Amino acid sequence: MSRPTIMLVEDDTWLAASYKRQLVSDFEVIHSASAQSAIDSIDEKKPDLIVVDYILGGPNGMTLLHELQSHEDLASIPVILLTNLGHALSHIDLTAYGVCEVLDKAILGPSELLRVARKYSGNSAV
Amino acid sequence: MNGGYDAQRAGASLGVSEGVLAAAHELKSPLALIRQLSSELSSGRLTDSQRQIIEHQIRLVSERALRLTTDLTKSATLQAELFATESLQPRMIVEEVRGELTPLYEAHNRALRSVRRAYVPPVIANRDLLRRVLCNFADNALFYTTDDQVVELFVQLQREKGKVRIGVRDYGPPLATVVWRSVRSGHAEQPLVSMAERPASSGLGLQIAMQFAAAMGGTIGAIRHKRGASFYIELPISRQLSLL
Repeated sequence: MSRPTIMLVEDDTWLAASYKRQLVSDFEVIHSASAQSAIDSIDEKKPDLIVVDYILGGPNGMTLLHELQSHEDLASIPVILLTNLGHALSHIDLTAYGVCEVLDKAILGPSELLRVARKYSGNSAV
Repeated sequence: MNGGYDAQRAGASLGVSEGVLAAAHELKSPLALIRQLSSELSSGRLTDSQRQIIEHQIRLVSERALRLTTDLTKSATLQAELFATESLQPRMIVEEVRGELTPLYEAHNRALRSVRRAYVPPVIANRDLLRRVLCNFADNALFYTTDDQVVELFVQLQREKGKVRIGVRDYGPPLATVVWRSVRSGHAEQPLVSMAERPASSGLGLQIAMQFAAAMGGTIGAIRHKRGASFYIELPISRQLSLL
């Protein structure tokens, strides 16, 4: 049985590698370092879940989410938003962008990303 | 141009609360990364080679964050001290900076090189502040560089101005107009964030560079290229006889 696919959009390559090591036990992880390359990759293979950093080099995470919402077949993909700016996002209705959960990178627990990814991908295997 | 600077202007350009907020923003990313990598080290799931790589990454990220905290400390104490200037050969400082940051660049699979051109005379500068300005620019350039791009340290004689330009050239995304205008005006206004082009920066590094440059009688400049940007410091040529 094939594993669910996560599109991980994170421009810090070392942080992305760390997240990928955490997720790879349960998921096929596709990494993009920018919103534009993520959009290109999603065109090739539609992921089951998107994990995106809010601040990226070039167009930011919200630009990616806007783009996804403009396509009917991509708008329903659940999104986990990673950020160091949790306090700055509290006034924005992120559910309109498909965001299921916002995770603060500064206080993220060792396996929390994996736990949340399992929750929203429907993969509850432990 | 003498070695003093306008303390009032330096203080006004960085309000205390804005400066604290900007510093917190700049430090949060490397600290979050160190935390994440440290969590992995204690997870017990890594191979020996993975552990070595992560330990190296933690060290490099810590050093980068410490450069910022040291810059912040020097910036905060700039009004209380006079920083002595001397005649310095800029190419030597460039090579020192390249040597210091090459491990960080290599760990990111990037290249940092110095561009060699014709002889450039010595400048009047404070060695420590000049190194910090160049490290600041090169640290920033690393963030906006991809695998196939090189960051260049350069030294250029501006003969007609009697100055030498020492800087960093990257080939990343375009420099935001707001940042370029701020540099040209000489005031790094808050916020210096352009979410469309070079985000994730509070502009704090640029403000600190401007303060350090002013303390040495120099100025900071930026050039917008079709690809990427150059950030530089211009310093007066030393009129002392070279002993070399």
